[in-house]
Amino acid sequence: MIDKAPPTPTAGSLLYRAARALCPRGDRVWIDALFAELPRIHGRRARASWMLGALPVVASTSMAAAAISVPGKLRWALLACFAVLLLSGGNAYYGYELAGIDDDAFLATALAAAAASIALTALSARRVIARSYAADPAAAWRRR
Amino acid sequence: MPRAANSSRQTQAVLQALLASMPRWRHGYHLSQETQLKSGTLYPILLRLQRQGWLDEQWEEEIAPGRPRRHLYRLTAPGAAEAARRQPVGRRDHGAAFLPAAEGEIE
Repeated sequence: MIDKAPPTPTAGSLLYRAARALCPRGDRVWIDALFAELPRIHGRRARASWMLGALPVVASTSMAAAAISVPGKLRWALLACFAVLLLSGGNAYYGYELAGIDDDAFLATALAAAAASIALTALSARRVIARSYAADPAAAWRRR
Repeated sequence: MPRAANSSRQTQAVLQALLASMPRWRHGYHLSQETQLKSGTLYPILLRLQRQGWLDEQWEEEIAPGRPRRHLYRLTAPGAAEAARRQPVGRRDHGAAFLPAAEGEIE
C-alpha cells in the first residue's frame, strides 16, 4: 500500500519512536516522511540536524490537536484566569492598593485565580487525553 | 491587521519552489536544499499547506533497494493558482494557468 508508512532504517532510533508516539495518529505520516529522507543525506551533522526537524513537526501537530480538543470557551476561561492571576499576583506582591482596594484582596483573588487555573488546566488536559484515546481505540484498550 | 495566510517568507519560498517545478513531484530533501530551509521549518509548512488543500502528497511507488519509499509533494490546482497569484511581479510566467497532470515526473 502506497500510503502506508514505510519501514525506515532509522525505525529503531529513539527519536523516531518518540516522535511517532507523540504525534497524533493521523499525522505520523509526516514523521515517516521526514525520516524516509535520511538515507539520502550525507554527513553526520546534516543527518542529526535533519532528524531534529521532527521536534517542530511534533510540536505543530500535537499543539494543533490539543487546541482543537479544548473547546473555545474553556480556552478563553483559562486565558482569563491566567491574566487575573498575573495582575492580582503582581499587585499583591508589590503591595499596591489599586483603586483603594487593600492588597490582601488582590492576594485572595490571585489565590482563587491560581486554583481556577489549575482546575481548568486539568480539565483541558483530561479532554485532550480523552480525545486522543477516542481517536486511537488500541490505546484505549491498552489503558483498561 | 491580521497577516494573510501563507504569506511568510519561508512559505513563499516553498510555494515558489513547488510552482516552478510543476507538474513534477518533489522530495522533501530537494525542497529543503532549494529553499535553504531546515527540515523543522519545511515540514510544518508542508503539513499546513496539505491541510489547507494546497498540496498533494503521496508515497513514491518505485523503491530503491534497501531504501525506504520517499514522500512526494506537488501543488494542487488551487495551491498552484494561489502560488502563481503571489509570485513576485516579473516572475508571473510560472503555472498561472496550470492544472496538474495526472502523472508527473519526480524530481
